[in-house]
Amino acid sequence: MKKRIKNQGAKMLIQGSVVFFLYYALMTKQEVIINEFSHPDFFKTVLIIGIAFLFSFVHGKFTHNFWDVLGFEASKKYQK
Amino acid sequence: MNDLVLEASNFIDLNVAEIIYLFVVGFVGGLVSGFIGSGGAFVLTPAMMGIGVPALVAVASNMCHKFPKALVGALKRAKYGQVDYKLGIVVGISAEAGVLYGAHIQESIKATFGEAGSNLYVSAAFVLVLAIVGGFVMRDAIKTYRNGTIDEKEVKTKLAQWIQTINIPGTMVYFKSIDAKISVLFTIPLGFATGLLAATIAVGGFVGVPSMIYVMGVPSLMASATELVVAFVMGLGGSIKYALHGLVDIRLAMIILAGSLFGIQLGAIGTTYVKPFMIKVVMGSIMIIVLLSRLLMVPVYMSQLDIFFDLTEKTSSLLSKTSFAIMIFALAVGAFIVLFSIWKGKKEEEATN
Repeated sequence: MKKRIKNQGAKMLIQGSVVFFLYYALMTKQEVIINEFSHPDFFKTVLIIGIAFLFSFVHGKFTHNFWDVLGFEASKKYQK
Repeated sequence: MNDLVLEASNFIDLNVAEIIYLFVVGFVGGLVSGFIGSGGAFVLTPAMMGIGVPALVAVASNMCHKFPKALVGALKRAKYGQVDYKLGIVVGISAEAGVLYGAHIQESIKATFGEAGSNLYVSAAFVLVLAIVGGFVMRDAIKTYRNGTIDEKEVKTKLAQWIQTINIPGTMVYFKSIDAKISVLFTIPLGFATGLLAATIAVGGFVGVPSMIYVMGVPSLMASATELVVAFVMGLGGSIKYALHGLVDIRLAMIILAGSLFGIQLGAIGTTYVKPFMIKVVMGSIMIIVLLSRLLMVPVYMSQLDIFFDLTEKTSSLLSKTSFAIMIFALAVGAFIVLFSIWKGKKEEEATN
């Protein structure tokens, strides 16, 4: 049990670092977004949808492990 | 739409306080969405507008945070065996048509009656739908509690039983959530109504979840989980449409997503600790409180249109602020019930082990 939490904690830290990097990149490129993304084209639309999928994938995994490590897991009757 | 794109070019600068504010509202919205399958959006759009985001950019960015959030929530709840993907996709596609039609109605009303007319239409829709559906859901939850049947298996309504007996050749589809076949001629209008409402008040789930429960006979937990699939399909289509017009501010969408993914994971976990009737309690409570909030705004918009009311600027401002505070309160009540349910469920589980 302790080993599982330790592994998950390590995973969480790695995923958290990736999430931090993604958000850092997004927030430091605010000017580019303000100038470029309000002038739409097909490529920018694909990029926006791609960014949303990427963030949901990485941040989704991170938040899952975050609550797991803190002990917020599904009821035992739902755990296989 | 071209005029609207000009409005969109006003992507605002964001400071740290605004980022934290959106993160927190996103978290609470996600918590409620993870539990009842929808909700949160009705606060997020005004919350963004409150910091100066143009209305359409707020709606579009909200939509763009909604589909990745719904995806994560649906995958999580699928692990608990609560999702009927087929039903979600079938309803989601017809909901998409409802969204497009609802957006068209909105644009027509705005063009004819202006901003105040559009706002009055949205508030009236809120009040009407929440009074009927919210009242029905709440009454059902109270009845279940009073009858002492909380622990018993949910009983399908007579309407759902009747619909499941109707056989229209060539339109029948099997759905695992009800373990029966029903005609898509019933699911299509329900999906369409869900989308229409989503385009009008931003929370299609207020019709989607109750219609799955009471009209199709889907168990509450599965209905709220399947609504996340519907929200994903609707949100993805809507986001593409808005992004093609340059209305999505991806920074706003991803900041709200940052908070809401923390929330949706917790809300989904919460569903594993509660009795199905709690879904109805949370949904009904939120709907009734939001109803009060929107009711306060009706005289404000009527006054702006010179219909019946003639309010001073001070009174209108006071009503608007009170209305927004009540909306936040609605979300807080939902979040409190979810968190309390997790705490109570965990405590009970620990006591039995």
